[in-house]
Amino acid sequence: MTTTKLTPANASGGSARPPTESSTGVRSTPFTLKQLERLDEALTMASRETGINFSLYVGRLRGDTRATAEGMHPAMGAKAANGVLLAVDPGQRVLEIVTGRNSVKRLPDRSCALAALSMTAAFGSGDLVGGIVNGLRMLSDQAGHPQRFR
Amino acid sequence: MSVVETILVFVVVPGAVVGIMAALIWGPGTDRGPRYRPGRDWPYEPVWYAPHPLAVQDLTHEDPQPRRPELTAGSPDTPAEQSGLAHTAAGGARGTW
Repeated sequence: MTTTKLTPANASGGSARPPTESSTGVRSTPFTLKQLERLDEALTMASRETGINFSLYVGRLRGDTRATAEGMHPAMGAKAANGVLLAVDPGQRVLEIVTGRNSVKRLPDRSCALAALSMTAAFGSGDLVGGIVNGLRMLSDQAGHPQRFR
Repeated sequence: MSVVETILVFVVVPGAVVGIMAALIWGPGTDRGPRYRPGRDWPYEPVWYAPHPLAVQDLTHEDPQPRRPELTAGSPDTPAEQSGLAHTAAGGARGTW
C-alpha cells in the first residue's frame, strides 16, 4: 500500500492542515499496524480482482463533502476515470463514494449505495476498519473481473 | 488451620486469581489502538491510501488526459473548477451514520 500524502488542498481551495491536536498528541495514522495490513490487503485485492483503482481517504472533508470528494477524485491522475474513491470523514460521520467515467459502468450508483449502507452500519457501531474492508469487498464483488479475464 | 494457612487460602489465592483476570482483561489492550467512537472528534491527519501500483494494471486504453465536459454544470466556483483539474467524477453514493 502506498500512502500518498495527497491532501484535499486543491479540492478545498486551502491547505489541508491536520485537525486539532488532541491532548495526548496527534498521531499521524489513526490505525494500528494490524488494521493497516487489513486495509492494505482489502484495497490491493479489490483493485487486483477488478482492475479498478480503489483508493481510500480517511480524514476531514471540508465544506460540501460531496463537492470536496468529487474535487479530490481527479487527483488520481490517469487512473481517475477507472478509479473509485472512498472518502470517509469519521468526524462529520459522512461517507462519500465517487466513481469515475469508466468505473461507473461497472459500479452503478445503486451498487455503491448498497455498499455505502453496509459501511455506514459498521461505522455506526464503531467498526471503522471492518466497514471499509467489507465495503471494498462488496464493491469488488459487484464490479466483477475485468473483461480480459472472463 | 493456622493463621498463615488462613491468610494463604482466603487472601493470597483470591488475590492471585483477581490479578490474573485483570492481566488478561487489560493486558493485551496496551498495544491496541484507540477505538473509534462515533460522534467523537477525529484528531488525526488526513490519510489517503492507494492500492499497490502493480495491483492495477492498465486494463483500459484510455486517453491519459481526462476530457473536460462540453457543458459546464453548476456554479463556476465549484472546487473542481478552482483546482484547474477536469471533473472526473461520474457517480457514486453517499452515506451518513
